[in-house]
Amino acid sequence: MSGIASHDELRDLAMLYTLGALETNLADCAEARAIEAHLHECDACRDEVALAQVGTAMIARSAAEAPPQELKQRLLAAVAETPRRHGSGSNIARWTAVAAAITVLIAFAMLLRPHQPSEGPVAIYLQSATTQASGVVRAPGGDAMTVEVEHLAALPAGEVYQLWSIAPGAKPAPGPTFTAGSQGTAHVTMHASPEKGLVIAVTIEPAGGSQAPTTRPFLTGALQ
Amino acid sequence: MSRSVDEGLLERIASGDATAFSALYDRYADLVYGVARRILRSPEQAQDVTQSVFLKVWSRPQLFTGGSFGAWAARVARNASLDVVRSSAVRLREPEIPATLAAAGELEETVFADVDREIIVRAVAGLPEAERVVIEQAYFGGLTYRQVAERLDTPLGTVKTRIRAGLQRLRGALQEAVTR
Repeated sequence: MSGIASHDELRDLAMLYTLGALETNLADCAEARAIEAHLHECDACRDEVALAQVGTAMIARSAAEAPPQELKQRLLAAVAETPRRHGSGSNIARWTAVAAAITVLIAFAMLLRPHQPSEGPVAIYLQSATTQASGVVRAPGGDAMTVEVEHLAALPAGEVYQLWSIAPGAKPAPGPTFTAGSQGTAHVTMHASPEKGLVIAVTIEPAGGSQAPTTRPFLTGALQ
Repeated sequence: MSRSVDEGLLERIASGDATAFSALYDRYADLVYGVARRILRSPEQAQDVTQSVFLKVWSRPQLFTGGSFGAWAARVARNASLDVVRSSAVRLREPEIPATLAAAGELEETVFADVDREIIVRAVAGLPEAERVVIEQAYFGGLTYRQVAERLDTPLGTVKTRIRAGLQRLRGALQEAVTR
């Protein structure tokens, strides 16, 4: 989205975003923030989102269909094979467990690689809703951050992964490109100032990288 | 009401309670599988997506950060299914929904929890075709409103107007059903 949109444009964007009918590249992160900022001050647009939420829910529910019974059996068998850690169930406990697991995995991966382990405080854990990939961003100081990602899929020839940093309200700034190592891991240094609200994201791009993202991010995290 | 039930189940799932997982599956499997089936057509692929969505809930319940679980589950199923359609090397996802947008309204929750599916199906089927087509192409076809406009050779403004009119009609039908 270029420039500041009018009220009517933001109202339309909020509706379309909620339905999932908006362009879904990284630029929408900035677009989404513009919508959110506007929603705080506009009752009419909040109503528009509520309208789209209800309609979208109805469209989704209209498709409901019972899956085959054996799917549940298969799923429960898979769950039984992957017991979860028993704990308090609190958000903090869960996040600590996830963070610890990522740290251990990354530490192990680092042992297999020749370069020096990263240092510096963890700035963000990168999460993916639909892949197994995850990552950790560290800010050792200054304008450099290190990004370590694991469980990356090998890409076809001609495609690379690319990092992006998105300052609040700004367009995505291109970061370095990289490929997954043999263990599905990557370790990349990027130049961006670790400020609050900064979003770090990873997309798949044509070899050589892009100046603006051409696919949706599959891995993201925001500095709190 | 339903939200607290789901939150309770998710808390137990986070503690490794497979019984709670089974209960959550019973509540939302039809929704997740149905959305995937509608997008993918292939029952086998729809089962794979359904399994991946629920395994994600089991292994990383913290990915659900609040609001309506039904809306979240439908969104994850939709994204995963569309990524299968697009044959992505890696399954992609949309940017995070801002917290304000993710907050569920009461009516939205009602759609997933309290209303007979038949009422919903009738409401959707009862939309004027021009409105239903643009909404379904966007939602199940994974098209942006611009792509819908190009595909139907219809002006952008008309597509937006039809989407809004359709959404308003759906909400009206729901309100009528719940207040009857």
